[in-house]
Amino acid sequence: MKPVSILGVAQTKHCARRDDANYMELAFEVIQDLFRKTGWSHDRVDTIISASSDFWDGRTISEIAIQDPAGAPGKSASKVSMDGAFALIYAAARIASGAFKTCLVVAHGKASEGEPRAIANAGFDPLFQRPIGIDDHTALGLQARRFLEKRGMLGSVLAEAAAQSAAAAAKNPNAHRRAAKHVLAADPLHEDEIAPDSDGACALLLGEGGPVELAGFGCATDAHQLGERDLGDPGVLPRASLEAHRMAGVREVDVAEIHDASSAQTLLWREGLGLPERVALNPSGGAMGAQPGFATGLVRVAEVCERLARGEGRTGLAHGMTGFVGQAHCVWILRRRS
Amino acid sequence: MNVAIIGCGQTNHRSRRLDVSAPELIDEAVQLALSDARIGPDGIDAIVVGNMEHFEGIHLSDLWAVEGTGGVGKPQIKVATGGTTGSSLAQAAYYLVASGFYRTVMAVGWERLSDSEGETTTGIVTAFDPIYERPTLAGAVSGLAILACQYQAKFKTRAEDAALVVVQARENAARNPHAHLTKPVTVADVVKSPLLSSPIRYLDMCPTSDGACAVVFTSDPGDRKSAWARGVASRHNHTYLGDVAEGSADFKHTLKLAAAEAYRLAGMSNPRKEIDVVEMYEPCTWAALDWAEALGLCGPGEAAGLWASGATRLDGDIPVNPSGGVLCTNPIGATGLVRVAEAAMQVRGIAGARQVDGVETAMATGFGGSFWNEVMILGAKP
Repeated sequence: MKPVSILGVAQTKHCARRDDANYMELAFEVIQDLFRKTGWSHDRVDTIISASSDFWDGRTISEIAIQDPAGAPGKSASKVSMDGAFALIYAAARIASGAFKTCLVVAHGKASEGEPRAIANAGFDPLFQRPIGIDDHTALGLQARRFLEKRGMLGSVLAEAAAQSAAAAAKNPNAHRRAAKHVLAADPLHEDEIAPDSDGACALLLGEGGPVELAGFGCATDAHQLGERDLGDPGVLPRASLEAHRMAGVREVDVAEIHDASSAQTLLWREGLGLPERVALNPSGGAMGAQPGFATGLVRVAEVCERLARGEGRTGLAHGMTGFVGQAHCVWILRRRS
Repeated sequence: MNVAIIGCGQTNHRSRRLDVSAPELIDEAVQLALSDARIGPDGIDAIVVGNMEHFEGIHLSDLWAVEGTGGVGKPQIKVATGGTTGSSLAQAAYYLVASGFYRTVMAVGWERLSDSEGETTTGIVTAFDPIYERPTLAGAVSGLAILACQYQAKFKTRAEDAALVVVQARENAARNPHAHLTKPVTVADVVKSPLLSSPIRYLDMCPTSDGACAVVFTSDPGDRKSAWARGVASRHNHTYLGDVAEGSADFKHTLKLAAAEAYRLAGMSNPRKEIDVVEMYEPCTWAALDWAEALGLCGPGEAAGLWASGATRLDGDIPVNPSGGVLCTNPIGATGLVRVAEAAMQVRGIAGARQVDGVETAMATGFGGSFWNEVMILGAKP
C-alpha cells in the first residue's frame, strides 16, 4: 500500500464513569489533547473519520455530535459504525487514494450511559437468539468453555491470563482502575476474567512523514450464528492476520496489542495471530485493562504506535474486533520508519 | 486510480416486505448486482454495508446481515451516516478502490422501515441533542419545515409550486418497477393533503420504505458497461441546527460546497449544460427547489419556474429524478445508494422506461445528519 503514517496519537484516561463529560466532550477532550501533543490544529486536517455506535451513544446518527469537536464543518467526514481499527482502514484509504493528505480519526465509547448487556442482546439474531436472553458476556462464557474443553485445559489458565493482564494494566496510567472480584460471572469466566465496560476515547492523525507507518492490514468477517462457528477456534482471525502480514511484508512483530474481551480471548487470539512467546502481548493490559466501546481497537493501534515511536521494537501488531466472540477481526501491522 | 461502477441491483421497494427477513431482502439486491456486473461472489474483494440501527432496533445489524451481503470470510466495513448512509457507502467503496486497497468492492445498503411500525420519525428524534434540541425538533419533518419556511419567506413561493415537484416525481416513478409510490397525484391532491409541519403537507414528504440496494465498484471493469466516478465530494456541517441555519451557513450551504468540489474534480465549468441527468436526494418538495438552486441548475428563486417549464421532466433539458426520487421511494440506508445506482444506470444506458436519451454525465446527491451533503458525478468515460 501507499505509505500512510501516524503523525500523532492521544487517548483519554479510561474509567467506569465520566459523569463530567458527555461523549461529545470526550471526543473534544481527546482531539484537543492530540492537537496539544502534535502542535496541530483543525486547519491542517483535510478529512475526518469517526467510529462510534448509535446504540451505545443512544442517538441515531450519533456522529452529529462529533462534527463540532472534530472540526468537520466545511470538510468531508464520515463514520464507520464499527471498532476504530476498522475505521482506520477507511481513513487510510482516503489518504492512499490521493484525495486527502491528512485525516483525523476519532473513536469513543461511553458504556456508563447505557446498559451494555441489554445493548449486546439487541445485537443477536432477533428471531432465534435474542429471546433466550443471550448477551456479550454469556457468549464469552460459551467461547471460554469451548476453548477449555477443546484443549483439555482447566479454568486456572483463565485466571493466570487475567492476572498477567491486570499486572500490566496496573502500570498503565490510562487503564481503567477497577476492583473486579473473582466471582463467577459467565461460567467458566469470573468477573475479573472479563474486560470492563469503560468510558474513553482515542484519536489519531494520519498523513505522511510520521515516525510510524501503517504497513499493512487485513480484516475478515465470520458467520453470525454462534453455532455456525467453532468458538474454540480463532475463526477468521488467522485469515485477517495473514493478509496483514503479507501486505506489510513482515513475518514477525516485536510487540502486539489485541482486543481481548475475556482472558480466554487473550489466549485464543494470541494463538490465532500465531504470536510466538517472545512477542510482548498487551503491555498496556489490553482490552482487559480498559474497553471503551468502539475506541478499544484504536487504542491498541495508539499503544503500539507509541511504543514503536519510543524505539521499543521496529514492528508491531494491533488488533480490533466488532461483534460477538470475534465475528469481525481487523489486524494492523505498524512499522517504525528507519 | 480510476473507479467504475459495473453492477447495480435493487429490490422492488415497498411499504412492507413481510415475506423476507433483512438478510433475505439484502440477498435479492446483491444477486441482481452480481448478475448485472457479470461476476460471482468470489469477484468481490470487500463489502461496505450500511443501515441505521435505531429504525429496526437491531444493534450490529451489519453482522446479522452478513449472510445476505455475502460477507462471510471477507472484509466487511459498516458505514452509517443517517440519510446519507447510501451515498456514504458509495463514497467509501470509491475510496477503498481508488486507494488500491481492493480491486472490487460492493456497497450494500438497506432499511426495513416497516419494522419501526410507523415510528420512523421517533427514531430520528434521537439524532438531536437530548437536552437542548430534542424537545423542539420532532424528527425529520420539523427540520425540513424550517428550511421550507425560510425558502417560502425569501421567494414568496406558493404551495402549488412546490407540489409540482412530487407530481412530476410520481409520473417518473410510474416508469420505474423498483419505485414504491407510483400512483399519480395532482397539484390539488398535494395542497389538500394533511399538514404535517407547516408548510410541509403529507404528499410533500418522502415515504418510508422496505428495500435494499447493492452497487459494484471496481478499478478493473474490463469490457463491462461502466459508469466512471469523476467527482466525489462530501461537506459536513455543525452539530446544532441553530449553527446550521444561521450566520455563515444555511440549509444548502454544504450542498453548494460539495457540488462545487465535485464539479472541480470532474473538470466542469458549466454543470447546468454538462450534466445530463440528476438523481437528487430530495426528502421533501421544498428541499428539491432549494437544492436545485444549490447545484446551480438555476438561479436563486428560479427553481419553481424550472419545474413549471418542464425542464426537469424526463424529456426536459435537465431531467431530475427519472427514478421518481426519494419522494417516491425511501428505504433510508439504501436511499442514497439508489441515487448512485440510478445515475450509473443512466450513464450505462440500462435504465429501461426511465432512460434519458444520450446520457454521458449524471450526478447523484445524498443528504443527511445535521444538513450535510454528498455528491458523486459519474461519466461514460474515466
